[in-house]
Amino acid sequence: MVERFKELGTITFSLILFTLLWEVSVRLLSVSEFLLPAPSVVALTIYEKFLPLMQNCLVTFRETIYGFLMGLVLGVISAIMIVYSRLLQNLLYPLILVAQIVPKVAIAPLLLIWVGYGEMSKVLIAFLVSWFPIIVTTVQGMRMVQPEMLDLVRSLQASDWQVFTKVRLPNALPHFFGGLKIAITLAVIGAIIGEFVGGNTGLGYLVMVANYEVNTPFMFAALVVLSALGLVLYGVLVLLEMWLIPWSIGDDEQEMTGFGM
Amino acid sequence: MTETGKAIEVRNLTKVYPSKDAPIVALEDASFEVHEQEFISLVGHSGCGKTTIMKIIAGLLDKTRGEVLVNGARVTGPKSSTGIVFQTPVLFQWRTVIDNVLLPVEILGLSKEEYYPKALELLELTGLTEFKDKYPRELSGGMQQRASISRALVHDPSLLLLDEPFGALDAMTRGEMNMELQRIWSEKKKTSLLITHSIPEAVFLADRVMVMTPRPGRITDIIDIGLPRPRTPEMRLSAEFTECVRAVGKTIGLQYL
Ligand SMILES: Nc1ncnc2c1ncn2[C@@H]1O[C@H](COP(=O)(O)OP(=O)(O)O)[C@@H](O)[C@H]1O
Ligand SMILES: [Mg+2]
Repeated sequence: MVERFKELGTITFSLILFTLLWEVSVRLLSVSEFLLPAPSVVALTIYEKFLPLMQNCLVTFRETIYGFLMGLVLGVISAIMIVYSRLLQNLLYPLILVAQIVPKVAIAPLLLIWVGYGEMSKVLIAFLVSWFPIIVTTVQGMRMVQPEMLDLVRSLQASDWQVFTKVRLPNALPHFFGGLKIAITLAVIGAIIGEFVGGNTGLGYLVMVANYEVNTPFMFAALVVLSALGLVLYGVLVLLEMWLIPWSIGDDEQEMTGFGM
Repeated sequence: MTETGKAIEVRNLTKVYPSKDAPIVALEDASFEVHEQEFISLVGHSGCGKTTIMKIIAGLLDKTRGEVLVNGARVTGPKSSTGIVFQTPVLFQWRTVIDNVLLPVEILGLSKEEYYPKALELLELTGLTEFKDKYPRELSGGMQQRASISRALVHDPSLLLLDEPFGALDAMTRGEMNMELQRIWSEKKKTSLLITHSIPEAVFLADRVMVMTPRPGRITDIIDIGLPRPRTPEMRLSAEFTECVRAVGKTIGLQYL
């Protein structure tokens, strides 16, 4: 716990240092605002455009959360089906794999054609990118049970239901949270991709507009809000994890690899 | 008590593991008996079939041939009258120590209120009272293994099976655990089968030591340990103890002792 706060302190410190360096070098070298605006200019833009930024942030937040929750529910259900039925595993895995391999950026336009330019298409993309890591980590967690653990409960004549609720499910939780953390960051990206491709709301849409207008400070402002959104969502999951599974050691770094878009 | 006073009867037990090339004969015609309340140690080189025997007795593994009776009844599957301790503690890291100890109670559908004092008493016996609300990762290896011994005893099994329970511990902790196990055994008088690599450990704890040889795995010698009880750490230095260790070592083919 103390370690975690120390870590947080170091991160905050390096962020402040980085921002200061950025500010100073932009001013000293008098870099044009349209190339790289100083942090102070970005901050001012955020202040001036606060309402539209927040309104659009809310849209992106909604799309992300709906997509993520869909991914969570369907991801867990598919994971359980895969672990408990060989047939379903053989049916589902290729499908899931194909869905994962197809670049989401490429099928986003198709989704827009199918379900329209509204929020639903973004929710679907966010869902598509977030359910894969949830399935993979949950399946892993339910399968990677120490064999002796199963022997132990079997020696007590545990029912299948008991094996599920008392062994497989809790055993999967740390992996599952690792998956959730990957999924939430991907869900934000998914929603943004959807907004890039088509639509007229959301932070991704703001970035596009700023791009057309060559309004770099506004673009940066949107990016900052976007990053903040991602960070906050991630942070909420970390807190939830610490609260719900305090017994877990939380070595999730190794799970952060291998989930491309 | 059974009529015969025998807790385990194993006759001509054979186990063949199917395998792609040649089937692996892990046990061939292994036979032995364990009396009620007896403490038996089983020693032998690794891979000679010790764990296989234990799993078959526990009903966790099917035999190929032969006869296995526990408390006079043919083994057909797992029986909750067996308590098992593995080489690693196998604690559930999402449960506190006391909840780990109460796991068998939960799975067997017994009353947790009724068994709670029993679990506390076992933690007292294994010196873990202060740690009852800690998670396993906050405990040392020796403490974790003591917790797993408490768990194996909580539902009052008549038979205790220990598969190299102290193999992962350092020598000093191991010696302490031996004393601990002896104390638990003398208090609870459970029939115990201890699998171990350490001949001194086997001798120190057992009434009789069974020696296995590999390929095919079978029991080749059974040696009575006549040392008085309770056994004390000083006894390890006595001539009688050394003689027992030497006798067991010789049957395995260790001449240097
Ligand atoms: N599940 C299994 N499948 C195939 N062979 C096995 C299996 N389990 C054990 N064996 C083999 O059976 C033999 C005895 O194993 P085991 O009972 O674990 O020995 P020990 O516990 O004495 O070290 C070994 O040669 C081992 O390779
Ligand atoms: Mg073994």
